[in-house]
Amino acid sequence: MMRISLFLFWLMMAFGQITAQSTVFESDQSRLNLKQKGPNTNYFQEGYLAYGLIPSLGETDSAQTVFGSFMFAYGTRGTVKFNRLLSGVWGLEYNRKSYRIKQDSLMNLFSLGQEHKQERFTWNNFRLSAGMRFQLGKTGNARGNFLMLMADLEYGAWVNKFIERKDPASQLMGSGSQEYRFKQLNYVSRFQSNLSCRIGMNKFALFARYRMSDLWKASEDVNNGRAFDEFSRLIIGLDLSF
Amino acid sequence: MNRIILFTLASLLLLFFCSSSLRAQDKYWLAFTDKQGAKYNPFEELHPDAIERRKREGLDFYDATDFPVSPIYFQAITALVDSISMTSRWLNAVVCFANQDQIAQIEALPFVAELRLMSSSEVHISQKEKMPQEIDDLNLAARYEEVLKAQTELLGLARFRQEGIGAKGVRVAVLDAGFTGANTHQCLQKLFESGQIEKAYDFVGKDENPYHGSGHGTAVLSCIAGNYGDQIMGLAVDASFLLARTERNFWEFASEEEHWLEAAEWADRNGAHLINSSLGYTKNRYFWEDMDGQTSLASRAANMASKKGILVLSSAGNDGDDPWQIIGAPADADSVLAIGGISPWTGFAASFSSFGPNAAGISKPNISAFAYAMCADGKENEISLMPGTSFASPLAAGFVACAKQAFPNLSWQEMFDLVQRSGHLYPYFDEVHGYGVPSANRLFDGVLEVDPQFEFKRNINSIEVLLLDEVSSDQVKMSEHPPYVFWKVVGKEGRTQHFAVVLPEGKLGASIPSGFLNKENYLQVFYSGYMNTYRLYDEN
Repeated sequence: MMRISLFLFWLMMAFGQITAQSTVFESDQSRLNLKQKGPNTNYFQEGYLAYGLIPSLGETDSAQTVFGSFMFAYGTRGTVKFNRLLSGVWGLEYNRKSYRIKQDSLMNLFSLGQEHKQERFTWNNFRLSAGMRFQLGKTGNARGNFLMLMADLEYGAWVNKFIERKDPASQLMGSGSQEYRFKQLNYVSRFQSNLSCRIGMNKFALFARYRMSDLWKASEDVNNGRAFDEFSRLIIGLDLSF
Repeated sequence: MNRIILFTLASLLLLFFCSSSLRAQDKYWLAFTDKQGAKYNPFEELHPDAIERRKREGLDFYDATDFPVSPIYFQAITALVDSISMTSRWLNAVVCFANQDQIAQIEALPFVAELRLMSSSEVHISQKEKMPQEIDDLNLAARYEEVLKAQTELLGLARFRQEGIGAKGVRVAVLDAGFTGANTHQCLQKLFESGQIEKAYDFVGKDENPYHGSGHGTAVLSCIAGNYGDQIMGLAVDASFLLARTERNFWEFASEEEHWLEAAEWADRNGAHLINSSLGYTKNRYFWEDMDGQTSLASRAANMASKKGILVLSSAGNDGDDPWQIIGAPADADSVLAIGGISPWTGFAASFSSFGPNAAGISKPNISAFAYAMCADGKENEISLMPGTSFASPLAAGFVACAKQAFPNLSWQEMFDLVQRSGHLYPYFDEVHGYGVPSANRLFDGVLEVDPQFEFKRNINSIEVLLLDEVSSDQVKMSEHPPYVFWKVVGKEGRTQHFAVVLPEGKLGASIPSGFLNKENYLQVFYSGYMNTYRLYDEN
């Protein structure tokens, strides 16, 4: 604590020294350290946030995802430069996908006094990815324009199904609706594989991810004797690197 | 639906991967192992001044790099490829267009030492496209005349006139993007009428008309030797010139640097003493680590020009205020005199002037000059204020040309050192001003011994620089250097860690936080011609 206080005191005094005089030009040369700068160095690591929308493109009408399905992700990626145009990329990410679906899979199990509100699946995934980054046009010490193609493997650490219903009992308890959470879903395939593409400019990128694997285990038959149909495989969104 | 999406993605991928191979022909750099069968007579091919330069520099008249490429190898390559766009004696190479099959055959040839695909890029000249914010608020029109006078006065116009020096007998090659309007411009009329423009060549269009493409070269030429009425715009009014257009203004294959190399060889053959290049190759083509003075073709060519005894001057670049920040090629080359830019209104570095050192750690830029200059405007037959280190470089080239006339027997390396020693900050150096603005007085009189101007005082958290005489509050003219205190912290291997310029107040020159210092670095302070060093461990 003493050391921190002394450092803060020194910092304040030093700042005072700098500002008290008319320093007309100043340059900290350490900022020109190549290793601290962007992806044009041999190795560059960045963090990112991504938000994507899952369009309503189910493979059949029976389990269509509806508007409001989304993916949120944050992670880190490293870029290894091979040459001026090409880099290798790896990434580690946590993402949460929320599929809002149209159907009411509990419609036959509860009393008529209940009213269906919404139903959704959430996947909390850890994602490991690898791919290539193609530099388009301008290079230099900026991220520049690029195209990134990646393949990945995801593990759904926590997969839940939520059903929200308006229930007379919950209203008696002073609540507008009641949510049922279903865990340890044995009909869900926890490992997923995807192909993705990012096209971007500097810190901003548009991305598209396409799921190659199926969400459900073919052997399981749930949902009132009816398996779920595949949800939309495509996610389109924006990401921001930092 | 899935099939449609998959098909679309696959098609996009396929299109991307195929796009490069769809270009049947690419441009290749092809260097040979030797010069078998090449014949060369320097006395027939070189200008007498080029011979004289070789004699002065102690160079071999029959140096292998002066021989043309082997006619045997040249013929063999010509038979294989579609076309050859350039040959280089200095680097013993050709540039050719070829497809993959042809390249496979060339790779198998025993005399091919290097084969490299050349990339596409765009031109990047060192002129700022718009006036930086820092001078937007100034009443410029009222001060145009002051800039016009100061851009040469600061370099020592009066002393050169007193010595009767205007760079007579010195030949300057100007490599630029084009000289639109130069041959008709009133500011350059004297040069054309008196035959000072000895040769002109367009390396892009392969003809003898470089007076198109861009007015940038016109402005640059005027900063070396132009005049506006009675007012001199550049110091080398009596020099002779070789004008070379080496740039296109649009996307193209990497021919700019090829043209730069061709033009430098042409300048050598035609007896140039100096080359001025207000062109820079940076982020559009290279990475930071490529700015090591050895990688870019232009830098390699500039190094070769120096080996032939030609002093090359290049603008440092205008990337100081953008993410690139550091100097570009060929200013990154060790043997090139890289010119940084200062603002006439402040007397210290213009915000856009690029920083050194180069990627190999070599100190750059070397010297400075005004980065705002009154230049011939090729479009309007008038003069206008133009920002950019593009104009600092020719102003300095005018100075070096005059120095060349004054000291004709110095080698390029001796001249390089002499010009650095003429800088107003010498022996102090920082990574944006270099050794400062050279002056004729220092050139002729040398660096004079100066009595101590300040002393250090250690406080609890700072080192104060106390001036022995209180600084005058008189208005400083644009043609004089303001009384700034320059300080820097120098670390291991002589690398600058931090530097600053301070305007003194009363007797307080500067106050430097002691936190910048440790046992491994030291503080260097310069004020009014006097430099001193302060080390923390001196106290022990």
